[in-house]
Amino acid sequence: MARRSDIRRRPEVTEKIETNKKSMDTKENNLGTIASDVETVRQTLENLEGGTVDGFDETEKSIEAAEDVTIEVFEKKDDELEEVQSDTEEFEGEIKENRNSAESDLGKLSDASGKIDTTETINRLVEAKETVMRDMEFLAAEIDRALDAREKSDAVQEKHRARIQKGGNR
Amino acid sequence: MEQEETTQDKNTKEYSELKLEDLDSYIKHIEAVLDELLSKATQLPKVDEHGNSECPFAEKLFTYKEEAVEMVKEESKKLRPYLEMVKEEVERCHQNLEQIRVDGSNLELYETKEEYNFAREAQQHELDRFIGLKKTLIDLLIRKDELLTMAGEEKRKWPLGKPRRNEHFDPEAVLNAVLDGNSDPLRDPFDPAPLPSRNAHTSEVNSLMSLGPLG
Repeated sequence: MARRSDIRRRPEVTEKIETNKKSMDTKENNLGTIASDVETVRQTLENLEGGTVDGFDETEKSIEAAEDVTIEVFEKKDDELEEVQSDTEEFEGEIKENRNSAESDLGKLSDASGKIDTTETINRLVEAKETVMRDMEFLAAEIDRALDAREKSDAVQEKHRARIQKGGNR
Repeated sequence: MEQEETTQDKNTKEYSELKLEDLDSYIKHIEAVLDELLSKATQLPKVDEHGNSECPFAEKLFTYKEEAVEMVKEESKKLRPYLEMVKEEVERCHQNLEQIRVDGSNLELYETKEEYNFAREAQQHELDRFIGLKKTLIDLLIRKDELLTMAGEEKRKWPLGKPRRNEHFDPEAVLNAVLDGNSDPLRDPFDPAPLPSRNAHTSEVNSLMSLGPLG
């Protein structure tokens, strides 16, 4: 279990999730652009009219090469998005652990408050419990934000992958 | 007009089996046929209105020219159908180029655009080839018409109507024999008898030598 000193500070958590969210957005947009390029290339291949002599082969080969290179770049960018998604998931795990740690701290504080009679000490424990509870709420909200961003990113990624696969069997 | 279309339809049908793959060899063939006519039509001897000439095989040469004319007329029938095919190819290449240009302008990825540039170059190369073939075919059609006009000039016509082949004498055979070194310079070139072989001469000379010196 993480110690309180290991728990990330709130701005750090918010910033990390925000950065990953932006990075995923950018990479999704890139994937969308590349998927559009693949569709354009396939449309070109479909619309080009072949001749009866060898001359057209070179043209067709170049457009096929365009499709291949575009798919390669798509896969590379897809991997990069996958990495950010994994990083986000890993961070989600980390802050879940922080939340569990806070939950555990809350239990300990409750136990301790039952054994203490001094009003001043009890008041300090109540304050501590409120702080831990706010931390827990914050972390839960951040976990939700990270999960939401990652799930949306997954969905968009799948949509773009489907565009690439559709009609991709030459 | 209607009749012209019918003839065109007939030609289209008749030459529907033409293949672009055969066009290069056809061009070489038709060029040779046209060269042959040029050669035959420009090497005719002078003849008077009665068909008399210093050249003993003048009529035959006029016959050859007429045969070359017929050959050109027959073989050049494929020129227009081929020209139509090539025009269609030029149009196809133009459309492909436009497709590549429009689609290429919608691309974002540098790598994809690069491949489109290669595709455009390849398509342009194919277009240039067909434009070259179109020009060649048009030049051949013009040349064919000019040659047929030239070959049909009054001064190149046999004055007594259709010239006839004289089967007793073949100037080309004589020419070939001379070129092959099988001719006898003492032999009358107009003698219809077959040319004697070099071996026959040698044995005859040896036989005479064996008789010893004369008188």
